[in-house]
Amino acid sequence: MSDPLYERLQRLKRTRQVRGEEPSTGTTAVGVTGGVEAVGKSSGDEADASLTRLGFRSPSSGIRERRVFRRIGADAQRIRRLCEPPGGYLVPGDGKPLLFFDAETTGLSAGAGTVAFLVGAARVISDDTIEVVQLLLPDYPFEPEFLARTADLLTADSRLVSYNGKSFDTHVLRSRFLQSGCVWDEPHQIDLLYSTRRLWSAVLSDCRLSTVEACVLGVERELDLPGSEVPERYFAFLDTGAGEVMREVIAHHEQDMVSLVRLLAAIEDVLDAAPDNANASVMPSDPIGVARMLAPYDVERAIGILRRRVDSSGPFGGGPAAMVMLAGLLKRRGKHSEAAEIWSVLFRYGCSELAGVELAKHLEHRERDFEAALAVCEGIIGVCGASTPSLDHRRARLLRKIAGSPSS
Amino acid sequence: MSELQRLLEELENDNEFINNVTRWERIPESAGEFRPLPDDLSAELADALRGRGIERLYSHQALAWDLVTRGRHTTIVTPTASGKTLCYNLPVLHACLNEPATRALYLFPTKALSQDQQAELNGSVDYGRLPVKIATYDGDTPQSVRAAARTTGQIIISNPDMLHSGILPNHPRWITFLRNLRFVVIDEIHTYRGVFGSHMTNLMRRLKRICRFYGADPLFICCSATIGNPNELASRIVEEKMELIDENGAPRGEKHVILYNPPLVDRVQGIRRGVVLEARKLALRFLRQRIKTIVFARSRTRTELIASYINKALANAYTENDRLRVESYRGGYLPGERREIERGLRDGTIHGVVSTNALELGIDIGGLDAAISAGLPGSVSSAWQQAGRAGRRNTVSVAILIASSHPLDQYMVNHPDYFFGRSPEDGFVDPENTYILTDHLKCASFELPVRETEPFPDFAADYLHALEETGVVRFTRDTFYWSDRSYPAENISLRTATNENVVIVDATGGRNEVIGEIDRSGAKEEIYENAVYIHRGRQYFVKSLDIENRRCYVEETDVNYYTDAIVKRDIKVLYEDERHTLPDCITIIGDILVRTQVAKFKKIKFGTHENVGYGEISLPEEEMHTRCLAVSFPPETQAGRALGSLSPESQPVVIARLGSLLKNIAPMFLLCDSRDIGVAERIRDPHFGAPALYLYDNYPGGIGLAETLQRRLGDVLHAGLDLLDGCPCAEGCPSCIGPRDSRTEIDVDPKAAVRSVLALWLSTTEVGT
Repeated sequence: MSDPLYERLQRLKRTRQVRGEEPSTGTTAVGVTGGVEAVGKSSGDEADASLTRLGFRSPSSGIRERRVFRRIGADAQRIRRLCEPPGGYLVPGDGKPLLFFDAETTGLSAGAGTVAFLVGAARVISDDTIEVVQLLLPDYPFEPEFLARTADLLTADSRLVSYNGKSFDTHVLRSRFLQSGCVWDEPHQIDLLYSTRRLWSAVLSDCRLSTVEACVLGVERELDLPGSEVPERYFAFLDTGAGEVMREVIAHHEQDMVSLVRLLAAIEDVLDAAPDNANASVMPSDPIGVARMLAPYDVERAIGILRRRVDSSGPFGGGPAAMVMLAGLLKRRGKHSEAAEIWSVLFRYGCSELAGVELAKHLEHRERDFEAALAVCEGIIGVCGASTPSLDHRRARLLRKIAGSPSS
Repeated sequence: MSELQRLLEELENDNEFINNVTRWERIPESAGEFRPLPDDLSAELADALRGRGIERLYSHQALAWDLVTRGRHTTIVTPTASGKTLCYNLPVLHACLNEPATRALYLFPTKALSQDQQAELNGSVDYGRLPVKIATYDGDTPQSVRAAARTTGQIIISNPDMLHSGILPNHPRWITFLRNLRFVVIDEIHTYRGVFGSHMTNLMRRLKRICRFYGADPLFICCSATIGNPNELASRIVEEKMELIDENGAPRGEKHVILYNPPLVDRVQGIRRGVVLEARKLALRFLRQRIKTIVFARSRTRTELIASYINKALANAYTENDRLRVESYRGGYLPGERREIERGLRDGTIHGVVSTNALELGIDIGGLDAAISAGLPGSVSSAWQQAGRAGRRNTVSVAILIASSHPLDQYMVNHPDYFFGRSPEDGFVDPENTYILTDHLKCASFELPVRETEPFPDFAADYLHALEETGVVRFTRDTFYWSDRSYPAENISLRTATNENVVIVDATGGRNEVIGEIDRSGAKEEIYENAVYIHRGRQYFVKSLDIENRRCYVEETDVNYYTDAIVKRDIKVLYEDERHTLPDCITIIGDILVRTQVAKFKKIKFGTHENVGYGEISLPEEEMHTRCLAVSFPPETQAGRALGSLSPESQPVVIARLGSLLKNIAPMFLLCDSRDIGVAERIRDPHFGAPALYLYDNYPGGIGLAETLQRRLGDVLHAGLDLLDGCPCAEGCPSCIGPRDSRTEIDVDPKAAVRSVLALWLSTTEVGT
């Protein structure tokens, strides 16, 4: 196993020993001087020229900035209206502008050594146009300047819309800001990954943005760069200074932000149109997910969606999850006997412990039918094969009530 | 007179016992030296101490307080159960109370020890309701409590592996903690020797570097068991000038240390009664008098065996009275089980425990009266650690070391002066090891760009420039930036053993319950198909072992035998990188494959230990691809002539002895631990066609030891000759060529034979230059 690095390191170590442990000046070692010069070249004029061809300007030595406009049609207007009262489901209508945000990083871990080298934000500027701004880090030492510009771009008076940004992109940025001692007043963030999971995880093979684009938005990217190759391109750019290697990375990043705009519009549409979600999107969404997202705003409509689902094919048509949720919402709306009916079905046919407990509660406190409640309790113990302290407690209380002692 | 004293008297007058005792050493009691609680100690903390019955300090605790509060880096070396933890807990808790922003990091080599320390601290913190937040942060810490631990934990208890792969690479999340880090406590620092220690030094360099970045400059407090050079080792690891505290001020009851050699059952073949049955017999004598006893066994299987023998015997004697509880304890039990046993030992509901060396380290199990070692552990310091488990402040205790037929045990037991007189082994580290330093430079540059002038150490830039050529770092504006997609700490392990444990699942009657775990290589040797696995006295039959998915399914069983795998090791030369044909010998540097195969197992009957059958094991070989230095002795070289001067029968023995000698001497030159080097000898080596001795790096891929050994071979051999000449032993001992082993020895005097070969070999030219 002849390892060239190892050989070289051993040689270096021996050189050091020959030199008698003297502190190294670095430049005496083999081949170092050449390396430094090559590095110097990469951030020079040649690099700038190739980046200019990709549409980048250099407002200062540490920043490469690209600004493009894209016509996206009616979605732009849709987004604009969401920011005004009364807002949408995910967007509060408080007038704060939305910034569709994405970062490309040198690694997939959120550790200290992962650098965000491309940060972008898109915003709607008219009823059919968005403006996309991309900031590129020309080389590591310029990071403080780059971050200062990033902080100007992503200001606290806006609202970020991201895809997995909460647990990754902003996390990396936060770490970069901390390390370079720059300040970033971080804006609020709407992460579309969570809504996407609720609506489509049951029907999509995975929830990567490219999958969502293809199946939900009907966008097929041509010649897209695999995400894993993005850092390699950046390292190649740093090494050679050839901006051309970044062409696909820049395009990929830009497309990500355009897709974010479309995705937010699609999600809001699905929720708006539910339960008639047939024309809202390419991909049918999961009614349980829709109902769960709607419930905080519009319980009646959530109930309607679930009821349709449950009624469509008799008991268990919508599956136990839909029934459990429906019963829960009905209970919240005070429709106790309707809820109890569902629990009863779930308990009898589905052996659901949770439904049994709800049913027993209903029988005991609403119907005051202690015998029936007791029978359900015992049924649960029979089904589950074991009791729990709270079931024991309930059972004992019911027995007392049946015996006529009023204490509970 | 206590039960133990009565029993000791009885043993002294018991001819059957005393005739097998080769040394009975009485270590007198010592009254202890006390100091009052420091005046400047926080009142809250002083009250909490008094609440736990601590009115004054031992002198070493008071000295530690003085040094640490004066801002000195300190090493503390005192025996087990001498109140070592208070030496660092006192100044740390005091600082946390006075200045709540204070943060401290405690590093323990194992997770079990961290747990124990957390329990100990929680004890003292709860007692006085001291408002100090303590959190364990290791691989077992649930994600949900990690964030709180990072931001509010004042004392974080962790291990080096977590610091390396979890904390430092994510330091921005630890900003509150690191900015206020004032103390770093490294307990059991003697475990960081050799390669592990070299990693540790570099890890501390990384920690100090990140601390500097956040403006912190923590004080180091290190604790060590007795080794030859504790303070030197500590200062090599933290790279600071350390003050040493090595005078124990704790009172100590009288202690008896007994070396016991089981009687011969076959004089002709020199077979002695087995340690398992002897240990059982002795332990029962103690336990029946309700004397709290710990038995140390050499392997996991023996631990289970001895425990179940003891329990069986107790069940017969106490059928109506099972108040005597004896448990087994070893790695591989689930954390909950281990905690329960530790607690039982502390609160007295468990009277006896049989353990592997897992309990050798500082886990608090309270005071025990008797420690029995069933077979001596590998080193003198380890033997003293085990003996130290018995011992209380003011009552008598006893440690009995039972020798096995292993030559090392036999040497110790027959040369008690060696055992009692020898100063313990030194610990070495080589943080400048090319492989290790390079690995940590990768991690360091991931954590924070490295300036060219940064002393990590001062020649780090040479290494970083080499790394730049491989593309993982980028050098620009006098600084090295990490420039790779990977997370370097993930692929760099501080230890040899992988963390890939096999989980043992009890599938009896459709049950599906995890009962334990075992490391990968251990799995192949202990839980192969058809093996009998013993877990806390219960027998399980291994239905299937799925190494790939790291699962083993077992079912409860009740058979009258246990199983023991036969392990074979084999070496294959893959290729030679360098061959030196010298007049004195031939050496090669190259790659070898060390293959370990378990192909068969024995079924051994409980009680009588007779062999009642064999079984086949069909498991793939365990392979380690590593670097080696091979020394060959062809007849035309001086080394070959030297070896050829001996009779053909004694040649293999002498080569093997030479291997032991080099393994003993090389760590001094390679700054490693002897466990880091593997040795194998072959009298008819197929690769060389001549006798050969292999010395290899005991790490997959190698870490440069073989290369260094090649360069220093001449020095090492000369040092070996000097060692032989200076060693006071008569026929070889564990410090030089290994103890005499009557089973293989042909020569009248192996030491003289090895010496003559070495002297003849070195008589002509310089070696290895």
